[in-house]
Amino acid sequence: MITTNLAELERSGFILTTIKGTSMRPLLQSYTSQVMIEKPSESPKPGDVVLYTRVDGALVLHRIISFDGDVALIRGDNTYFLERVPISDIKGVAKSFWRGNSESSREISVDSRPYKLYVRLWNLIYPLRKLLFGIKSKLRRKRHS
Amino acid sequence: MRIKDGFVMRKVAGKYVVVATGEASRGFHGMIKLNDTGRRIWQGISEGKNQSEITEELVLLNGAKTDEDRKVISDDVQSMIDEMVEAGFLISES
Repeated sequence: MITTNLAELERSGFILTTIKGTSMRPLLQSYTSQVMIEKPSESPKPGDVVLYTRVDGALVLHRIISFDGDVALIRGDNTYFLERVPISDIKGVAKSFWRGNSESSREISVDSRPYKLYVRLWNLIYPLRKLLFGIKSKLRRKRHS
Repeated sequence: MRIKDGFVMRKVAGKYVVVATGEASRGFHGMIKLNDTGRRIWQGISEGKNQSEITEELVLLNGAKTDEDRKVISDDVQSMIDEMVEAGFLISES
């Protein structure tokens, strides 16, 4: 989740903001990691982390998995469902991340090799992550019943 | 004076920007763009320099020779510090 001003993105062409929420873990940590988002200069592509608006007005930052016509299928790195988002609702594209909140935290560019490797691996092991998530949820429910 | 915990300066798209993180980001959601003078003032405060040391550094850097030039720089530093205190980024310590 992002709490920022879209007008600033429109005005400056970019925003720097701190992440709130856990849906993009392990890449981004709530209230700690920051992201630099630019106004899209070209059509977004699978793998891009994009800023979009939901019908309730919330601004969300998740990753594009694929497209279905004019609709992007989007999922957080730490979520297990696909959201259908019209491309017209995509307001920005993430270009850099800082995982820590100190001045010395390193900037991670979306063009860097380690980041690209992370994206490939994290998507590759999605079926396994989903299976483990399902088992953990079942165990949790059993413990509470 | 010192910068309140949680505010960090980053170089983004060739510009210097300050953003709130951690607890500070619960109350402040925007970003502050700094020009070069603003960046040097922020950096000076981060390094523990006082107002007159920062002013002197900027005077030297800008090659200010006349009293008038010095006053312009001194006023700039004062006004930025005032703005930072008002916005809640700075803590005055006696």
